[in-house]
Amino acid sequence: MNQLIGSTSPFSEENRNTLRKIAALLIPKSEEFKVPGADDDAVFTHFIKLASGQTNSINKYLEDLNQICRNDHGDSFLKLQNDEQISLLNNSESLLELLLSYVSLAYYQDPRILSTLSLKSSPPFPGGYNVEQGDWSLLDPVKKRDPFYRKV
Amino acid sequence: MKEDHVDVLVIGAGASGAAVAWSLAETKMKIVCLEQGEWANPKDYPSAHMDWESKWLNEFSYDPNLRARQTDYPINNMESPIQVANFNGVGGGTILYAGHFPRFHPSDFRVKTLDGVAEDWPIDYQTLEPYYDENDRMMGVSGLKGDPAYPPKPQIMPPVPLGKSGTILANGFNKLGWHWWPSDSTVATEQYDGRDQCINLGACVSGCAQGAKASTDITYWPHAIRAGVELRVRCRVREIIVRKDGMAGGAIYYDGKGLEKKITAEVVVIACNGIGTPRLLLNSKSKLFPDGLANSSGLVGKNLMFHPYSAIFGKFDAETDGARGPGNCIWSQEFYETDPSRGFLRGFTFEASRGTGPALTVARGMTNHRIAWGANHHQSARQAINKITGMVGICEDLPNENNQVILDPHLKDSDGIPAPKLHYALSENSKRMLEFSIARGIEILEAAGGEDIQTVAPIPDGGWHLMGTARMGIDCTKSVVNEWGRCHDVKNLFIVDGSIFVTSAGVNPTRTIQALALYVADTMKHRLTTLFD
Repeated sequence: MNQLIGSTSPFSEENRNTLRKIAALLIPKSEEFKVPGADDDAVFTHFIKLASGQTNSINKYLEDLNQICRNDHGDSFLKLQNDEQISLLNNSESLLELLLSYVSLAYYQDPRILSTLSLKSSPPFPGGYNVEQGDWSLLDPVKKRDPFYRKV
Repeated sequence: MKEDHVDVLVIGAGASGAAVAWSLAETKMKIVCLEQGEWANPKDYPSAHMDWESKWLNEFSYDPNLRARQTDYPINNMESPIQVANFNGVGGGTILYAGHFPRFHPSDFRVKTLDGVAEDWPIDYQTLEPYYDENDRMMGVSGLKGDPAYPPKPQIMPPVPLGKSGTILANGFNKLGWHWWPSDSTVATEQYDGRDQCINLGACVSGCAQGAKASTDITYWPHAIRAGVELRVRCRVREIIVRKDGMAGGAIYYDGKGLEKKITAEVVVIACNGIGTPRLLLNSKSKLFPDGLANSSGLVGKNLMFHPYSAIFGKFDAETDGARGPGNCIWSQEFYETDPSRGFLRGFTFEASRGTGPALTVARGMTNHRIAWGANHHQSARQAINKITGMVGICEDLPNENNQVILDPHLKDSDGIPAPKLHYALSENSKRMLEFSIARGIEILEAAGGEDIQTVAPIPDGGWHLMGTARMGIDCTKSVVNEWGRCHDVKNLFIVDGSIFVTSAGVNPTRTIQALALYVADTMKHRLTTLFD
């Protein structure tokens, strides 16, 4: 009957909690810039969706991380102090390499975050953007050059 | 069962398949094109969605192994430092290309004569020039006439804007006294042939939701279909049939439900580009052609050429365009023509890249340790978003028989058709050219005021241009097709895509692929009564 017990979530509850904590450490909440951390519900949901493409690798790296925590600190990652967690993450290159990309993609596509950066908080289409023509007189010295393609 | 017979069967509905089908349509022959992918729906393109940057990196990735749609086929890239980029669907690679649209130079057709390497093409610039012009009208090209790096060519629409990034980079080029010019681009800067003008969505390489970028689903195909060409999607060709007389007889393909179908034809035209075309020929083995169709020279799949790319980007105090505006901006051909004192033969084009969107900027910055994570993250990210611009160097690749496409003995697509496997290595000439391009690129960015300059070479996922694997030539022992695209071995089988390139030049190939397709089609029309002689 075990096959009837399952979940559509790609990560266990413990791993989700660990990922949420890691997201908050990577991009923390900031009072100065008035922005939430990457553990914000909407950002984190997007992050999990993006990360689900690498479920096996991430679960494996999290297992490795927790094994190190238990060996070195006698407890799981979530039970450690912030500075200990940061130190451990700094030594988890493979996990970081995967998660940094997903966390930043989720965070910097959130309309609330884009607004704080004075960037457009809606899709590029249909509004588009204004792009200045620029100073075409910069081309004047190039226009004075003789043709320099090789004649054959 | 009703016989499915046509005069001309075109395989592949991308850049070249669309052009050849449109051109042949005036003959009033019955023409059918089989395309393994589907029509694109612009509302699906990433730029119509809030998460457009991650959509571009996933379901609209130019890496078919990552995109992994039912309509894609896998490619074994394990033995290549450059990964293939493509798109399978109506429009082919033009759906996801940037729209950079340079022509070859006259010297590109005379590489052996001028520089003593590779082979000369059996045709020259003057032969293709009227087809370049015709293709420019069909695709709609923006640009500025008068570029001293090129022979004169017509201007159809005004150039894409210089913008903030172009202005920064142009100042850098000017300080060094080096050539630059607004890029020729298929991004329409005015309304053109039913297309609306560019509104600077900045996501050209994930499909243009505005319809301003010329992909062949919105340029050639509507005209070709109105002229009577039938385009069938979700039809994946497994092999080309060979008749008892050794001529091509049509194709066996799978429809969208995986059902095997047969179509017979008087003429078969292959337009599957530099990987798909040799794959199809090598999969078309028969008693008459045990080594693959049209392969008596043994060159089908060999001489694979990419363009090895370098990337050089820097951070600026002034604001850049970021992802806003067409990716096309300006180019430089200061180092295009051969100068042996540089330590390599042939040359490259610099193509400016305005910048990237905020999410990709931060993702890249964090993974390469240039943007901090943790307490300093927000300050660090704000110093990078819309502050980075730079360029890529697109280097000419020379043909080498060891660089090749073969069939993977194990890997297959969803219809069970053997997939392609690559063997490819960078030549010493390419390595020296990449190094040189990086050194010059750094000089340009420093002259423009850039700092924290980052470089990559070759761009590992930058196999956008796929050429040389069924090359053209007069000598049937040294080429697969003749000087007008007809296979030496099979006189009713034609190839019109990038696989027939003899050399790669140092520019994006699509404009030349399409000019070649129009030239081959025109030659076929002129020779209709003696086509198989």
